[in-house]
Amino acid sequence: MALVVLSAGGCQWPRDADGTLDRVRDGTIRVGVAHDPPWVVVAGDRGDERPPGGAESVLVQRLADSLGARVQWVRGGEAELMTALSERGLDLVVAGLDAKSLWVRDVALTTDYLTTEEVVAVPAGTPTDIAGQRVLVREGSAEVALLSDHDATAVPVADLPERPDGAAVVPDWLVDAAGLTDTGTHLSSLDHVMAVPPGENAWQSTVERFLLALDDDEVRRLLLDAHRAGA
Amino acid sequence: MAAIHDRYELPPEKAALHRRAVRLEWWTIAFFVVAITALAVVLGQSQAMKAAWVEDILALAPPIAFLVANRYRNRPPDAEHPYGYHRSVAIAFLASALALLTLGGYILVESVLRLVQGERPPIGLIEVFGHTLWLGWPMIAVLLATMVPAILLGRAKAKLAEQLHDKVLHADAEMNRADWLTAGSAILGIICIGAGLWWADAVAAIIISADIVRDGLRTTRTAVADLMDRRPRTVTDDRQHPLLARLTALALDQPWVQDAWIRLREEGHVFVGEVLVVPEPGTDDLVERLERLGRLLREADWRMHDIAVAPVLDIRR
Repeated sequence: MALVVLSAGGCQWPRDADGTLDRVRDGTIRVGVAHDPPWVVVAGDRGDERPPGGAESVLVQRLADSLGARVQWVRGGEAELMTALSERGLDLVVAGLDAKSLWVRDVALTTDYLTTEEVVAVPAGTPTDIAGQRVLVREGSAEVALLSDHDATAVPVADLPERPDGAAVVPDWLVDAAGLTDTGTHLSSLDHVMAVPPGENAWQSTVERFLLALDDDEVRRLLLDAHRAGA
Repeated sequence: MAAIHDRYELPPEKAALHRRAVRLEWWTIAFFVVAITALAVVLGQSQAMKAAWVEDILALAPPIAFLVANRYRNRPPDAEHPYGYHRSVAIAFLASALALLTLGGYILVESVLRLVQGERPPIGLIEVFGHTLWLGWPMIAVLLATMVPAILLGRAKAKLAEQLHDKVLHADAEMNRADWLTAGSAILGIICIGAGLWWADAVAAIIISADIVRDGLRTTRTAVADLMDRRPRTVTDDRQHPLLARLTALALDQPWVQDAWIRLREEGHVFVGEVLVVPEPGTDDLVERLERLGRLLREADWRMHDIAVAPVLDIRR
């Protein structure tokens, strides 16, 4: 009971095991970024000082602004960033992560802030029954195998055309922009998260409060912007 | 007249208590099934909650063992099982004791590992009906909710176990105690995590689990000793059972008995054993007297189920 009163009274609750929130506020947030467009777009090499692109990079910059903090971007592979994060060498990692990430053993994944789905979409006016149809799909993706469950023939391509003239597997936020209609066949879904050091619960709560306040459509717009910038 | 195929029933007042125990065990199973389902649904990803989940699954072992043994214990002896089925209770007791020991060992090893590896538990926010809330609070609420029935069930069973001389029930009461103790330590741990003390959770769990391991070792030792036909001991405080001395005194009180020696073993709820008596030389109607003595000993206590009386010339101790 005393604790409830304490937390309601404005004291920091929960608290960090290592004081991350107090350090980053009006200070510097060390953010690890791994290339995973359109979530994170890392151009240039390691020493590149330019901020990375992508929807999550924009979100991180907004979070930093709200805390009056500067962002120190650290480029790297997901594995090395996660190892650094688990040892508290970084304060945040964005890499298009989702809630099923196996890194959950070593780092803390935030609550998910957006669910995206890979859907089968067709040009407007074409029948939405995909059984027996040829469906364009990005080669090497999990959806190639999933398509066979729907009796459709997967046609793997290196790059999806901007405006496919037949059925194609696209993320839900791209359906309208690609001039397609959702067939209602959803192959997979991902709950998107960011990663913070484990045990820094005040910092984690701050990031989560920021993420939960986000507007889904706003994030989808950022994804679309990043997608177009890359195309 | 000796009845060979006699079937054992608890005395009426004990039978009523036993029916209550059976009901309690069904309630326990119902409670843990609900708790296991709720935990699985509410807190899928958290490692700390996974431990609580495993605990609840292990806590199902004693009530299930009790109820299975309950189906067998009263069966009359048959050609294949001339000693009857009373021992099923001893087997259930061993199973419950091992479950308790496993539970303690599991938590102990896991918490030591967590502490050594410096694992810092992350507890973030959760959104409930549009409000963001620290996930620690609902976790504490769930743990408190599981603590209350465990305390109540455990207390009721501990009392019944003593009255019924039922060790399975007693082990189950210990299991419930272990369960609410670990829930309590988890609550303390969550509060400490919220305060930024990441190590306190593991330390609290280590202290509690050490206590459960001690309890489990003691119970397992008793269960094994019972199967080894150790002389009977009391359920709750593990002291020499007074019945042996009482029966010996009863036999020696007979004017025609020169010397007597009794051995007893526990078969679940009941005791069985043999008595050797040295009759005074020239005792009349020896067979009738022996049979009366047997009946007298059997009727001395409700737990005294089966006793074979054998006359001998001399007892060498």
